[in-house]
Amino acid sequence: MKHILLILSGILGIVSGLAAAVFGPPEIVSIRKDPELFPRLVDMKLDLLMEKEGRVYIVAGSEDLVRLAEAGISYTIETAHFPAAFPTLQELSGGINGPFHSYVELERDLLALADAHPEIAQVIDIGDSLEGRNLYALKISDNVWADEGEPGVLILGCHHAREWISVEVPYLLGKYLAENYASSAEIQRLVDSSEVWIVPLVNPDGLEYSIHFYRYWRKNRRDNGDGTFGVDLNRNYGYQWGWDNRGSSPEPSSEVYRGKAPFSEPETQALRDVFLGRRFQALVSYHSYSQVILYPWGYTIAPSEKDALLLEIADEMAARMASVNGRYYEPGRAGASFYLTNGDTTDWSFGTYGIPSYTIELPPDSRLRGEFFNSDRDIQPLFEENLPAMLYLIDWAVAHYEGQKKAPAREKTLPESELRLK
Amino acid sequence: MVVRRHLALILCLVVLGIIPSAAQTVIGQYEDEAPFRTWNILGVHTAPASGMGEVCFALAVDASSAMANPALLTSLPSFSIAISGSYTQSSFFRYSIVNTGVLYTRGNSEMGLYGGDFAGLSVRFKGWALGLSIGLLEAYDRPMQSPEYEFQGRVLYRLSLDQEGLLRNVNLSLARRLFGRISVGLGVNIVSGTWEKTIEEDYLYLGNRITDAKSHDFSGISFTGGATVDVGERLTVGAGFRSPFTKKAESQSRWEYTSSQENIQIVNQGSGESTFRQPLIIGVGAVYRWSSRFKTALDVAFFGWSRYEAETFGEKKKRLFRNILRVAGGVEYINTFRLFGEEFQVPVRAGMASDPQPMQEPRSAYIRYSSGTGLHWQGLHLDLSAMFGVESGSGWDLRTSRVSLTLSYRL
Repeated sequence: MKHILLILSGILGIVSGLAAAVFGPPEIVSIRKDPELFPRLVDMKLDLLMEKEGRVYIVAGSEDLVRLAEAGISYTIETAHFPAAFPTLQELSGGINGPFHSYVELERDLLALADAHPEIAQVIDIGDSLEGRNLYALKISDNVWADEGEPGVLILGCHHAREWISVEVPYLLGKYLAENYASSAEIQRLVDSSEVWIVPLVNPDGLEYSIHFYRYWRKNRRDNGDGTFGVDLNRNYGYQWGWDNRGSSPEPSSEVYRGKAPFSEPETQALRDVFLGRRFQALVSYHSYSQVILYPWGYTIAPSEKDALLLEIADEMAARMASVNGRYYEPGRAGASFYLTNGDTTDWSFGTYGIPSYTIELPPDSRLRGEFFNSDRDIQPLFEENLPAMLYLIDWAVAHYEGQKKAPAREKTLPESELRLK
Repeated sequence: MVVRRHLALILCLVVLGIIPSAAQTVIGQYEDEAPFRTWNILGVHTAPASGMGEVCFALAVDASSAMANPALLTSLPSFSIAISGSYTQSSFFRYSIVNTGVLYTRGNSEMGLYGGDFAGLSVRFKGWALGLSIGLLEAYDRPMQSPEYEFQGRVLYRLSLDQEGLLRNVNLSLARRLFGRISVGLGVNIVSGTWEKTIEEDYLYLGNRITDAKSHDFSGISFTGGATVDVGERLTVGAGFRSPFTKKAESQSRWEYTSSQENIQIVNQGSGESTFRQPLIIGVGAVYRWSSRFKTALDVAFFGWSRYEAETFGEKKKRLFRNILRVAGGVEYINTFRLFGEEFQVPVRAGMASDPQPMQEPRSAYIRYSSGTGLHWQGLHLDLSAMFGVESGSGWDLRTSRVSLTLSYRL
């Protein structure tokens, strides 16, 4: 009897061990991103998490690991780098800045959005900030994991740390596109024929300093070595950088310090590199405050050769925005109607790539009416009034694209409703 | 492709673990939650211990000894009561918005705190001993800064930075003497306190005011334990520990913009839970009585700071800390004299301590020099101590000093 018990307990031990192996917790693995390998991964219906530095991260159960091994696909287990990956869940309640996103909250929400809409939404780590935070781009497109040569629109937020609302509007745009793709034919058309790239938080280090230390912080967190901190990221781009000392400053203590060299900052380097190999047709950089739409040139009061076109698009955007809540964003040439800036984002993207580029300064319109402060209640209305302008700009980019769309990496899967109709 | 739904919170926790942040703005010693004077705090040291370098694992002075080693209660008289107060001064270079990009100072800022910081009693009866005390464990104050911009005699702009807070510790300890020479003890510590930081900016020429206010309400429980052994008639060795524990906080934040001209007020509020995981502390000490008048004491304490974690409003903060060893030693010589037929005792004390701070960058440490004296008459003791600490490693030559006065009565 004793021997039988020993044998049974041994068997139970083996079985439970096997069960733990077969039904053990999932692992996070990374696989080298390879255009030839990609269709096989898609067919395996794996749970793609994110992409970073040429590797694709996947949440893989035991069965998935077996299938990867059987398919001869080599992977690296990365779970150890995610020590809190599968503990008992901890609610992140509240938050230091209420409904406005902090870096961690934005990271969480972007990844959740991509996880919920993996066919059309992808989070890409485009680089690291000075303090090592990830700079995230949300790409919205059909066949999002493939490069189809479609026209792109780049929408940026929060170059300046204290402009919290400028994170929310781009983020909500990405959320809107992802969540309405399945239900809106118009959104589907736009998303299928374009690539919308959204970088809601260009300056995560500055934002964290603004939240935890000083609300009015503007620049990034470069230690300038002389006791001062920060470079104005919107004076660090390479077109006409340092043109004069009115549009930017060589003084590290200045709020508009341009840095030691064009693209001296990792944040602007990352955005510069996003353009490489992609066909952006338009760019919007969100800021606050002033309630205006600005276009190049910023470094001079002189008009550009495309001034009429830039004004036409800006007027159209302003009209669409005003139709929502009645708020009119005055369009104008940045240098002539606002103030001189050199080394800024839109001068660079327009001057280098010739694409319509806009700085949209969100409300309020006055220092006496809130300046960089927006009420929690403002977030949704400000997004809603900017939405038609962004959709218009995406449509314009598609309509004026002169490039050729490449064949997608895999066959497009029709929605089930269309299959039934057929 | 098929997506297995994962809760967004898992993703958040996953991503938090991916790449730890590289270097952030190096605050140095004075992060927001850093205690005044030093990170390495174990209990409250009244004047007798403070005068000897803050030795605490083998030297019984009064009920405050139980906060480091509860077993020491059996070495106290059958009854003792003590109250203590201190004045502490520290210098600061970098903290909050000071010398991190907003406000710049020429040299260090100084600040002093004073007040009562300990009250406690002990009772010993038939081999048992009980101690009950309350002490000011930590203070979070920072030098207030209030620069103004003036033009033609008129103040156009004003900024004020104010941070204060404290952590109280209530200790209840029980000890037992065993086999005549060994004592063991256990204690529970209940901590509670507050932390508040407010930055206010007045744009007087516009009529605008911006307020940034944050606060924490702390609570937590830890346990202390220890043992002492009398080795012969002259030597006592002791060992004690304080368990790691989490200081929890209900935290609030509030930003407010007010424009008196436009009659506008905009408020952004947030709340959340904050936690600060305090380290395990283990120490050993020894006291050697060369004679009835002269004794020396030595302590070594380990602070397990490498496991320190700070999470504010539900978000982990990066704190690169290392374990440290604090070494302290002191001597005491008791003089006596007679006056009006009464015998008085006058102890003279001196001590020194090495107090490395836990930050990996910059690596800094204090060397503390202390001295003390007192006047004892029968059971009534009045003790005074002074301590001066010099920091090196940060490049900012921080200083700290402390004067303590303790009045105790023992039966």
